Amino acid sequence: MNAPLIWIGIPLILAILLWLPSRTKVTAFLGGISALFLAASAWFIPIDTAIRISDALSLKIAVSIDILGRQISITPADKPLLALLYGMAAIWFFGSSAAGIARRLVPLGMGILALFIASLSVKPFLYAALIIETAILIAIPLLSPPEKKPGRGVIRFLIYQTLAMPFILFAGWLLAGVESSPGDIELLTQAATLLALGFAFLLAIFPLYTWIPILMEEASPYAVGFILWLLPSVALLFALGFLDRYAWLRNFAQLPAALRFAGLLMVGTAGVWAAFERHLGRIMGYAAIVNTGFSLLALSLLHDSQLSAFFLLMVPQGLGLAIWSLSLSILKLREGSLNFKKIQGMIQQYPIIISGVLVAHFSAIGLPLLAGFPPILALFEGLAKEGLFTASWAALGIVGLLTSAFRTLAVVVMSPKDSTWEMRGSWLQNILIGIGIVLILLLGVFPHLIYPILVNLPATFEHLSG
Amino acid sequence: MSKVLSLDSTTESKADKISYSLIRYFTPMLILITISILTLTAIALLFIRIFLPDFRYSWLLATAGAFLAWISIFFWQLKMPFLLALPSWQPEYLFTDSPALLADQISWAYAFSVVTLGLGTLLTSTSHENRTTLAGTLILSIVGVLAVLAENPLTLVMAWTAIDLAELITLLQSVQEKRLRERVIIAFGARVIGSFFLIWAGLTSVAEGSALNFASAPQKAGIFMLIAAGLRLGILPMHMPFRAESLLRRGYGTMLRLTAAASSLILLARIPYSSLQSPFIPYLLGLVALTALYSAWMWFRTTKALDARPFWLLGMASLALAATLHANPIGSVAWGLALVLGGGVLFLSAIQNKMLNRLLMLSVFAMSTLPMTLTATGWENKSTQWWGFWLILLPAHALLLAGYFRQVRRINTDNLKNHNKFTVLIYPLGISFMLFTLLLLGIWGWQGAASIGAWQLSLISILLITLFVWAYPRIRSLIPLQAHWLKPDTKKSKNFIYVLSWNIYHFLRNLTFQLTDLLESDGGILWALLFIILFASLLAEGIR
Repeated sequence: MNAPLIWIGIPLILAILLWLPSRTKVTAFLGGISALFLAASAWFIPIDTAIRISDALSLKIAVSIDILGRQISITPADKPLLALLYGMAAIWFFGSSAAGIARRLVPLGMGILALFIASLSVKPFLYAALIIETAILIAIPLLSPPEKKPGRGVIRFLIYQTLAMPFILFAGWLLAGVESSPGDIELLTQAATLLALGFAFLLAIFPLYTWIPILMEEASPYAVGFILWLLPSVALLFALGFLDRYAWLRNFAQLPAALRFAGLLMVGTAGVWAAFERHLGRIMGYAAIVNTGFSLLALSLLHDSQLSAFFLLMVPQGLGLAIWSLSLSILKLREGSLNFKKIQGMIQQYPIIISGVLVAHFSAIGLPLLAGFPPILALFEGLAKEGLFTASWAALGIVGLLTSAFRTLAVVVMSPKDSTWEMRGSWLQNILIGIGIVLILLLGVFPHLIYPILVNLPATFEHLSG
Repeated sequence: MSKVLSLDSTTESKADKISYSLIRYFTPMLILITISILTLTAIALLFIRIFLPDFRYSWLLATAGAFLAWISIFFWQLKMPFLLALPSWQPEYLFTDSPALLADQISWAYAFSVVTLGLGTLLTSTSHENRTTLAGTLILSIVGVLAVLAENPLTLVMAWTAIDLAELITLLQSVQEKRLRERVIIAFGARVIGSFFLIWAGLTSVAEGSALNFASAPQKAGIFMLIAAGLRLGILPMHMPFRAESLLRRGYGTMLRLTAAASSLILLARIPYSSLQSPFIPYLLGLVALTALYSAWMWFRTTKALDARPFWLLGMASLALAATLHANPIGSVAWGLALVLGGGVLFLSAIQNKMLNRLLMLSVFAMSTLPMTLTATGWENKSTQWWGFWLILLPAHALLLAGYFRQVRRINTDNLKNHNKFTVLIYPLGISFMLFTLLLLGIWGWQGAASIGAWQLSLISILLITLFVWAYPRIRSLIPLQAHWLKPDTKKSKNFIYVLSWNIYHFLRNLTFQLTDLLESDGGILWALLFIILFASLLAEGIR
């Protein structure tokens, strides 16, 4: 028995098996339970330590496995990260039935997640780029059903993500040279530039994020939401892997400034763009870009916060996106469009579902009492310590997103004068979103509830966690 | 002998230590007791509403809970100040603050007022309120108490948001017209922006190298705290985004409005004057004084108190803010308490009775700034601000109280004699509780009690009140023909600022649309690649 087989092999097998159930609710339930089981096992089962089953029998889960000369290894330090990723995936899978996309999202999502985890565990490290590309290719049928002609958003997503690969591979090739001759500034410059370009494509940094709002218009918001949660999270973890591995990169003087610049660019532009948007899906897309911007800003505080600020953002952002995209999917399924004109006054027909949209939106801004508030506050305090200039630019993004939240709120409450309050949407849909809202509120008031999950996460990157 | 003595003293000191640590441990629980009583009662009421809809004693249960909470607040006086630290946010090195509640002389007075208001609302609800809002009143009391007890800005913004959300949900349920709903959103927006200003004040403190707490806010933070309170109260800049007060009538509506005001007013008492050393302060004071005068004038001319409630809130809150700017935080609390309790007494009074009307006059006395009254400290001045501001503030106060006096003497068709025995008994009790608190706080319980104050200024104010009350029926221009200006403001104001903001918004919107079209069109990929090449060349240069 070895760890990669449990947390990569089994999910890949499950990804195939989960195509079998014909009922969407069964698929969603089995997918959710499986992900939950994988999360629990990652949390509780020790790796590389003998587990005594009886006097005569003991079991030890090995760290690594060799495939085609490459090594995939999952160490005990990776356990919290696995638990977090599979735990969050369970939330997405449970909600997939209510979003009407379980048949595609659960099997493909399980496969994508397994591949992403493989990308974080593979040695030599550079092969990760290829595994990520494979995962992106698998995401295409999730975003664009085979019976439908792929839209501009999907094609652009594929182009930009694929363009990231050669840059990262070239950078990796040069990095080996930098390691052997660290004084070669020319080589260092080329490696750093290529790496920055690769991650700019992978993380959809301005202006490479245009696929996000387009995709939010043309595909299922829940499917896009899943990708917008998973892809940046894994890409950032992948970037952390680079930083952890290469000391020269970690100690690169311009690194915090570069991360801060990229983060501010994303937060500022996406926030301002969101302020003028009239499509609920596109607004969510911009909010997801702001989320990535915040994560980059949190990474720029690496030397002060030792990754804690970065990991603190992960759960609220993932949960917020799940609730937001589920609510939008339900609205799109039932009303056909997410344009302001179409959803005007809908709060009286969908009080809980619209509340889901609003609560997730305000949480992304960091409204007090909501899950996004504590990590965003911690982030801003970190930025303020460096000076108020950076915090002011980040605040500009917040103002933009806040404006779009007020506009959305103003539109959804504009019901005709004599319309009555109803409760449209199925029980499952309303209950799932209701639970999500309660969770967002709970994490907003008691953020320390998730601290036990987060406390050991930085240990995954031994050189960065201090 | 000496050995015995020393042994005794050791024993004593141990006992002292034990009792001290017991007190230290249990005193903060007093806050929890009050909050728990209110919370459990509210939960019980919600449970009853869902599972026992025929239960007949909901009102009794709510009132009993509020009364017990009211009594429990007196026990806080046994050992003040004390701090209740809530579970700290982790990791601690990322969060400079965690939620905490502080009971001191200032917060006690506000908490006592908020709970009294809740109790008064419930007791007077026998006459006018449907009983579905009982739990809502208690929940507002809880949030209000949490807000006024906030030990740091973090706790305060959380309580503020809870109140804002309660107000938003309540108003959206009670308002149907589109334009009015838009106003509700604008009001909500203004408050949320106010909350963000307080957070920004915290960030400026962090940038200066210290955490933001109310005891030692740096100079740069003070102005942001002031803007936060001003925005939430509608003073800076003066705005009343939602004037349709008639939609939120007595009872729950009054509770909501006054609790929201109290939760914002507490900040004024917490801003250290040392952090308000800005050259803008005299201008702000001028603006605040003019706001006070304008709203007092509008309040004075009104015919229906409930319709003009926003002007009362604005006028009294302006006086509180002016006191803060005069380095008089205790005076600010005094005006705040008068706003809550004085306003509560008046706005909850739905039924006329000679005796009751005479009793209500006591609240005019309590707010008169005379020595030994609640607002005695209102005119104290520890700053070096220009004396001329009194020329505006004194008439403003006089107009507010003259208007109040008129409202108390108004003739209402709804007489107590027309109600059942239960209402005849309970209703005056509700009003009396609030009046009792109003008078009690003038002589006991907090820092501003039993004060002489600036009696010379209070005499001028009394003279002015008398003059205005005398003049009102005699000068025709003071009597409004109709209170048409109090109807919901549904027309978009086409002033310069509005037009300018709208034009800027349109310009920015068109710009972003153009850029979006450019980047999302088929040529967008090429534009993006061009940008990336530029970016890469800059990056490479930067590294070199």
